[in-house]
Order: sequence, then structure tokens, then C-alpha cells
Amino acid sequence: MIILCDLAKLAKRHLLGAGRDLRRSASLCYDSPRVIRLYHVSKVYPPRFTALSDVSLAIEPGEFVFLTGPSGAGKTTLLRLLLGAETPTVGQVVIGGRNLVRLGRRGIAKLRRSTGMVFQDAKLLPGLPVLDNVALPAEAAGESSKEARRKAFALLRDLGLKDLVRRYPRSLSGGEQQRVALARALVNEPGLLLADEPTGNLDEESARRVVELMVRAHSGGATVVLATHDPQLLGAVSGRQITLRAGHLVDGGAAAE
Amino acid sequence: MRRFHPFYFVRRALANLRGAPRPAAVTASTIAIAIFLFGAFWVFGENLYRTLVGWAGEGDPLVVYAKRGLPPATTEALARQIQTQPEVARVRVIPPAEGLKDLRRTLGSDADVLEGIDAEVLPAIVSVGLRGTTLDPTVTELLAARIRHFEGVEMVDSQVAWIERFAKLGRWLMWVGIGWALILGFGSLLVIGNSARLAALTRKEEIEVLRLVGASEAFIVVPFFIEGAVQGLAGSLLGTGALAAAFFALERSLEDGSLLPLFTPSLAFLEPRLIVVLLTAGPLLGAIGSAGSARRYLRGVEL
Repeated sequence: MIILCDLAKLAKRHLLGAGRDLRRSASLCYDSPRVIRLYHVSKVYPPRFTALSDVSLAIEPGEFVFLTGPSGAGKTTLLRLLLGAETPTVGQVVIGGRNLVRLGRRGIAKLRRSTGMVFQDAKLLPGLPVLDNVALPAEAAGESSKEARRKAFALLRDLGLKDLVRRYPRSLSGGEQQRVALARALVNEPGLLLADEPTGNLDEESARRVVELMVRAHSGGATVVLATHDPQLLGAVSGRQITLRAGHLVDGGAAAE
Repeated sequence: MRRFHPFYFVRRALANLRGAPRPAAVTASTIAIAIFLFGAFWVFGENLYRTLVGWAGEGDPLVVYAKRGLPPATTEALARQIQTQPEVARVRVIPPAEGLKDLRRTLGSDADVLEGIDAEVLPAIVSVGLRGTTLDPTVTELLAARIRHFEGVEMVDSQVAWIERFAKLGRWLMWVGIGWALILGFGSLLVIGNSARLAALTRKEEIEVLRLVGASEAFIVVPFFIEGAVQGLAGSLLGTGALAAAFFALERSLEDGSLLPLFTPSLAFLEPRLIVVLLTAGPLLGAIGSAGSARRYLRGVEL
């Protein structure tokens, strides 16, 4: 699948129209996944709250990783570190060979364009219809509005959300909002998908649909890091489980070398 | 390769303006007031100056009194001599009889006091008009000093000094007004900045989401820039339009009251290039204030 994606991207670059056709046949086509390494990472919030303490771990390309632990364990902090939304107090976060601590604003923005993030509360922009919400990361990544919308529409159609394109977030159910948020996270075909309790507020059926989409992204080649404390979710999908407790890594974190 | 997104930016800016019309209206009104006052002071100062210069040019600011009893032929010769001076545009000889008639006309109903006075007690006058709109008192004084030494001259009276003083006052008023308007302009910049900061605060979540999906600073700020420019353009059009309406209404009312001839040559509105400057200033003020403030806000936000 990954080889097919790379071929489609190459063709898109050189042949434009032909690339589109190839990509359609490959459905979602993710950036090359990157190795993630955390070296002795601690995060302390002022005045003295330790969210993460000396966490070292490695996530290999294409892995599906569950980040588990009770509330306040440090799951969200870890995801935010991977997104470059936080800087570690101590230690280093390296993604695809790039140390996030040393990346400037531009470098972080570039990294985020190839990283999809889903939040517990969806964080859709209320003033934009679904299509524009989903197209937003593509526009931010430099696509023309027309191309970004075309990509967003194709993705929504593939994810079975075609009927929602003209609707505004406030008119959607929680499950629909979360699936749209997932579509937004996937529109740039990221190599890394981060999800923070995406099913936390959803009923069972909606949660199942969201997880299905994440599994689809994973089978498309993306590395998925999913923070959850939902045991049903853990049983539904096979993946490595990393457990945090009170900021400490207690299980499943193959240490980064 | 990253692209410029005119369609997205305009769409976002217009959506944001629609979403928060009140702050946008406040910003546009502030700019309109600043533009209106700046233009009003400019128009006032310019017209005052033009009127004074016009009076100086049309009237004769130098009056040469000939010695009493000077024969008309000698007075004519004196006038011809004055006419040869480079600064002089025209001369007009007012014989004593005509001078007395002018005096009677000026006194109106009190002209009786001149009853029985012989015109010969008055001196002949040579009224001197200056070339162009020379209002430099130094030049005029030097000319007056030269004329004082001419044969048959009793006295030279220059009215340039007070005209110049009025003109200076006019210019001073104009610059005071412009200074005031600039202060107002700076005030508008603060108002624009604050409303942009407010807009950024109300759109905190949107900015956060944009940041998290990898939007560059420019991508976030450009809609603010466009919003500011649109507000500024609206303010400029409103301010300049109101100024034009007020000006032409005033001109019409002066015409109706037959007061317009007082203004020489006539009342003038802003020059086209100044209108262009005013119409450009608003959008610039709005865009810079809005984008600058949003940018400062972004710099202070983590993520």
C-alpha cells in the first residue's frame, strides 16, 4: 500500500491529472511514517506539577500505539509534546530525526502539516461548514482553496460523510463532529496521527465508527498514537499499549536508544 | 511549494467581519472621524490661505501717496517709474478727486462730514499691485524702501505684513489641525489595534486550531490584515464622503447667502491627489493596525 502511495505521489508530481487517478485508486495515501523517540522527557508545569517524569520510549513507523492510563497520567501532555505544542522541561523529543526542541515556529508548523491530531472535543471551527473545516489543514499546507476543497470532499465521501459537507458543526451530533475532526486530521494524508480520547464523549456506535476510521488510516500506512482509557477500545484493535501513571511510564514503552 | 491563498483569505476576512459587525463598525467609524477631521482642517487651512493670497493678489497691497499738489503729469511719470520695478504687476493712479469720491462711498451715510472739503487737500495715490502672489514682507519692504526715494513720493504704505500674518495664521491653523488629526490617526491606530486584539481573543480557539494544523503566522494574520484594510477603506470612504457632503453643502449655503464672492478665487475642495492619499490612508491604517496587533497577540500565545 505504501509503495502504491509513493508511486501515486510521484505520478501526481509529474503528471498531475494521472496522479489524481492513481490516488483515487489508492484511497488515502499517507506521508512516509517517521520514527518517534523520546529521551528522558520530563514536563513540569509551574509552579511544581510534574506531568511527565523521565519518559523514554520509541515508536516505530506504521505502529498502532495505545496510550493508556488514568486521568492526569500525562497522556495529553505526551501527545502535545509529539505535536510540538509543548516543549519538554528536560529531555528530547525526536520525530523523523528532527529534535522538536530545536525546531523553530516554522519547523513546528511544517511538522504539524504532516501530523494529524484529533482532540476529545473535536475543535471544529463553528463559523465554517464541514467541507471548509476539513479543507483547512490542506489550505494551511499550501493547497489552493479549490484543490483543498476537492481533497476534503473526496475524503469525506470516502469516509461516508458526504452528506455533511454543507452543514455547520453546531448542527452535528458528537459522533459526527468527531468523525469530521478525524477527516480534518487525515486530509493532508499525515504520516503520524495523534488522537486524544477521540471516543471519550461518544456513544458505542459512534466510537466504533471513529475507531474504524483510525484503523483505516493505520492500514493506509500512518503511525497512530491513540490516547484512551476505554478498555473496550483496547480490546477492539490490535496494537501496542503504552501505560502511563502519574507521569511515569509503567508499561509498554520500548526505550529509545 | 506553498501558495498564496487570496480566495481563502478574503473568504475568511469577510466571514469574520460578518461574524463581528459591531467592532468592525467602531473601527471604521474611528477611521472615518480621523479622515474627516484631517480633511476638514486641510480644506479650511487651504481655503483660508488661498483667500488671503487672492485678496493680496487682487487688491493692491502697496499704496504710494504722492506729495500734495503734485501735478497730474508728474504723478503719471511717478506711476510709470514704479511700473518699471520687477516686482510690480500693475499700477493705478487715483487722482485726488477720485480719492475723495471713494472716501465718500466708503463713509456712506456719514459722507456729510466731507461736505465743503476740496479734493486738492488729498494727495494723489498710486495703487501698486504685485506680481503673482508675492506675499514675502521682506521683498515688499525692499520695494517700498526703493519707492520711498522716488521723486514726488510722500509716503509708502504696505499692507503685505498683515496679509502675511493672516496667511501665517491660516497655515498655522492648518498644521495645528493636521497635527490634531495625526493624533487622532494615532488614536485610531490604538482603537484598531485593540479591536483586532479583541477579535484575536474572541477567535482564540480558531487561532489555536489553525496553529495546531500547521498554519503559518502569515496564514493566520493575512485575514486580519484584509479585515483591517476593509474596515479602513469603509472608514476612508465614509470620512471623505462626509467631508465632501459637508463642503458642498457649505458652499451652497454660502452661494445662497451671497457670501461666496468673499472667497477668492473660490472655495476649493481637496486636490484629487490628496483624495487618493486619504482613500489610501484608511486601508493602510486599518491593515497595519489590525495585522500588527494580531501578530503581537500570536507572538504572545504558546503552541
